[in-house]
Amino acid sequence: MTEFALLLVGAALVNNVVLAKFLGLCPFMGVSKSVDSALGMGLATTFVITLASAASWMLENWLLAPFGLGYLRILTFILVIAATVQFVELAVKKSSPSLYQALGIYLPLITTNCAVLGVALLNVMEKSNFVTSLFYGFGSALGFTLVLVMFAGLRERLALARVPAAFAGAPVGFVLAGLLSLAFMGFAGLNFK
Amino acid sequence: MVERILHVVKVDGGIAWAVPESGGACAACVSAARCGASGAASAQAIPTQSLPSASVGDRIVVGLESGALTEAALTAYAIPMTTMLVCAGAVGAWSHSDGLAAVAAAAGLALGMLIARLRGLRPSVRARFAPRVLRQVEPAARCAP
Repeated sequence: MTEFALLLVGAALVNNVVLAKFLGLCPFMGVSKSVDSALGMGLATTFVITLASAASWMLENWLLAPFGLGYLRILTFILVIAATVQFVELAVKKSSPSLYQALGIYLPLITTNCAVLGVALLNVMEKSNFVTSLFYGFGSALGFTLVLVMFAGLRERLALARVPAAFAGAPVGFVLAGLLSLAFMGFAGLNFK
Repeated sequence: MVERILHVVKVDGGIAWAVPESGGACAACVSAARCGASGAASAQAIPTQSLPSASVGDRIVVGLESGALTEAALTAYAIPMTTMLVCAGAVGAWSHSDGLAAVAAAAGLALGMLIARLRGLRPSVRARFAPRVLRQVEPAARCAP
């Protein structure tokens, strides 16, 4: 249990996928104007990243590595992730039409972002077992959601602030993201994986 | 209230079929034409009793209660994910077999989706999760995703 807790802290805070590895910046800037939509988007992305981590681990260890097909890794991972995203949409649509009605409009699955592929590739490089890979993917996605919601909260406050015209909008958002990234560098002192 | 602009593509007896417009960074991306995300949104059926004049080609603003969006996301994504992780973690710690852990993860995912489905079928939940048409918008208007 301690091992899983340390893994989650390490993946979510120390090696944060957005602020330490700079992956998934498109939804980070694009879907962070309100906390509610950021939380919804973060949960959707967390679900997809966790599923993609499991699928990519199985693909790597049961198909690509045994048959020496490592050179097809990126191509197959992209296909598997795209299929996972479509599966999530179909599964939610068929199993819970009412939930799909609420989520379908506001979250048109922008989850096909580089963070999903990046986490899957990093996961494979770690050469862990299935459960560890699953929790690493979940921890990374949790870090993505945490940062997205924090950033959305800050941007909501920023919308009420008096910002110089030259910095209004995306520029001050990037300044804010830089400051957040500096703050997260503090976690690098923790001796986690 | 979380709002979103949609494009009406079909109107049929008080129900409008509308496609969400991509917003934020996706709308401004130069690769939008080649990106799978831009075409991922499918048409949604939305009751238009509050805006009977809606017709094909109109742009409408649809709203959903803020709490409802978070609740729907938690139900649809957090419950299946939690059951999947718990099942995989428990079986993985017990058997140390990757194959069994993968089967347990799949079983946990199916169980979580079943729980989410049962929760989503409640009439009170269905009513709260239904988005409403708020108003019609001018062609140049945009709103945050």
